[in-house]
Amino acid sequence: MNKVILIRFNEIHLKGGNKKYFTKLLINNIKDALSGVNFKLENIQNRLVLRDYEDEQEIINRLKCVFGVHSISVAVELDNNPEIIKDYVKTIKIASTFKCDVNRADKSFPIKSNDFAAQLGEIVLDNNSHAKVDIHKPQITINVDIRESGKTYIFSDLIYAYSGLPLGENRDGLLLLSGGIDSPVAGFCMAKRGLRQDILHFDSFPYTSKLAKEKVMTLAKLIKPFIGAKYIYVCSMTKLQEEFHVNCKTEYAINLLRRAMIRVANAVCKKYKYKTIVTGESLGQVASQTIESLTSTNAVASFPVMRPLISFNKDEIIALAKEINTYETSILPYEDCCTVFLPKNPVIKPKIEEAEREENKIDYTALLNYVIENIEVIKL
Amino acid sequence: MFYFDNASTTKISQDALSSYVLASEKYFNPSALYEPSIMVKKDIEDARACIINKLKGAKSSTLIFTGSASEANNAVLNAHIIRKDKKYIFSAGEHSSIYNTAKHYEELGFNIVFVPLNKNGTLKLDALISQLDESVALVSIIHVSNETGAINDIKKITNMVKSYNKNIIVHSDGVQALGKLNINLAELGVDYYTISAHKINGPKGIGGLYIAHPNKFKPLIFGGGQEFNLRAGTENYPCIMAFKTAIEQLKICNYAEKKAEFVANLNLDKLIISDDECVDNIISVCFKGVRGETIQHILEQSGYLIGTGSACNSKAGLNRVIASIVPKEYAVGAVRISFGEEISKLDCKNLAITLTNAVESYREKINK
Repeated sequence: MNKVILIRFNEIHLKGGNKKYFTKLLINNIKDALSGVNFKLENIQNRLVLRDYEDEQEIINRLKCVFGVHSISVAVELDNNPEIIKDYVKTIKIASTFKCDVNRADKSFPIKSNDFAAQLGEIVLDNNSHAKVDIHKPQITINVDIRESGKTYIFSDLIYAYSGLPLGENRDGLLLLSGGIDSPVAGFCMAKRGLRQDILHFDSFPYTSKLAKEKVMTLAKLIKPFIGAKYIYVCSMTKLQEEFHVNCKTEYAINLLRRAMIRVANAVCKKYKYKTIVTGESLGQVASQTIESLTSTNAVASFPVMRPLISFNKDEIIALAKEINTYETSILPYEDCCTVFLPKNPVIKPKIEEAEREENKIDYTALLNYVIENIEVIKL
Repeated sequence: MFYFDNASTTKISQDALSSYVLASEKYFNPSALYEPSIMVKKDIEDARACIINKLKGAKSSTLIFTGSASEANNAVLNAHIIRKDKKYIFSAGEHSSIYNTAKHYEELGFNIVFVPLNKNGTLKLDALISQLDESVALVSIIHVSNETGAINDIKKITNMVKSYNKNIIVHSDGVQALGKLNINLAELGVDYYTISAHKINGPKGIGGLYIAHPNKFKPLIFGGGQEFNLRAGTENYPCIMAFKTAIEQLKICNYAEKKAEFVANLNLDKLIISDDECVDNIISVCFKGVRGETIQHILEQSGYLIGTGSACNSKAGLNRVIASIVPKEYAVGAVRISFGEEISKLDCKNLAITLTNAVESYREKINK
């Protein structure tokens, strides 16, 4: 009898000819996630069996962060032999309602699923005076999974992971991470669809605190297991913001800043070969996220801009932020660069031509090049 | 690097550091009964006596070593805020370790009163007097403000309070006064006085609470009976010995010239909070239309480390003490300069020039 961890995946099954490729990706990602931990991994018919491990909880915690994993169970592995399985079921201690579920993938197994489930249920009842069968809403389900590989897995709990697709081999996405609640969640959401990302952060030192940057570093480390980031690019927007502030219409300050951010992101994507920009924008949440504002910023993007939270309500975003453990860090009270030169009445429906006119008031290209050249690259 | 934030903490002196290292080698638990422990215990008692002597503590008074001045302040409030029918008075300019502790007791339903401040940060004496009545059990007033350097006349306050009712407990947080004023605790007449080592070139992690009447005090931390049963926990022998060295070498430095040099070269529109009623080593200056923390960051880029009156974020709000004595537009742009011995007059002049330039260029950029 072996104790093992069963890892199930779902969406990969739908991948037809690419199934092998995605399975290999998933296995590699699992191995990455479990680096430093001893284990053996075996691929058996649509699920992975992890064995010879020590720290079960640590492994489960890390596996939950691997996209493509549907669910995890700690199981006992036995041979496909009715007597061996019955002997094991005799040792199960239950003092609540339960049912037995038998899944007989190995059609050579001599007893039919329903019959075997009934036999096992009787064994449990015989050995546990407080156990009671409830096939509709049992407190405990004893799952008996009889596989064609010749092995049977018995488990009760399913620990759900986030499903989705395994992160790709390349870091294709560039996540704009502000330090607020939304952008870490946006990175998480895109990673769930297999987009591996690095991070671009904008700061406005000395107008913002060094602690604001430290906060972003903390956030980056928190989402790293999900998004597979290796680098964070830190770009100081101070010079541009000062120029906008002095020379351009105050109400356009944020729109101009966000357009500049996208342009910086373009440059980073081009230089480091990212294929898409990811932001935490949510339609209508603030003045800079109206359809007109998004149109104005989108107009300068040379790469597709992914906005996975576009239809999310704030409370939905907060719930996800709490789920991925970034919320408490995000609400630390350090301003990011957006709020420093905040106009009292930012334009809600900016016009692209107007934004361009404002940009023409300053030596835009030179300033943009300056901030791009001074980007700090930090390895995570 | 030019360090102008000595009110926040000071650099440990070489001698204090040596004392710390030397004492660290004698690792014996002072409570044990073998010879090396007895020697350690004796050293601690010598240190205690040395500090009490230096601060001229009253007869039969004692001093307990604490993990910080914050702990000492907490201990006093914990020992004396007991009855809900009594009144407990503080100045509005108390350090956070008093202010937030008092606020905590207020939330628990105790009658807590904060007496407002004058423009320079000193306590409004009239307001204090008007609060005295039969229900008052404790008055705790900071000796020197950590924000403005304002000196409260503790001797006068204690006399006033005690002549109203000698049973009122008087505590003063003397952390910023130590090394800036000549302190004679017996003359001040206080029941409690808080001090800290790291503000006087000693180590961090050690504070002291002077207790005039040990029998009236109840410990905050119970345990193995250390510090005469007044503060449990194995004594921090290395820090205590370094504290002793810092106290032995303590001298009252005159920062008047440095302060004057700084002010003379600060050629721009500003509001200086600190005045003649303040110690010379701390000066709080407010600039309208700028943010204190941004000024701090700009100066850091030029190698000057200064303190700030308010954090660079709207959520954390303004500096409580500064905001209570100057208009909000000034409080936002408050910075705190605190001089130390290693800083020369020329450094002070250069700081003032750099600060002037920083604020002016900031204003040009921001206030179009």
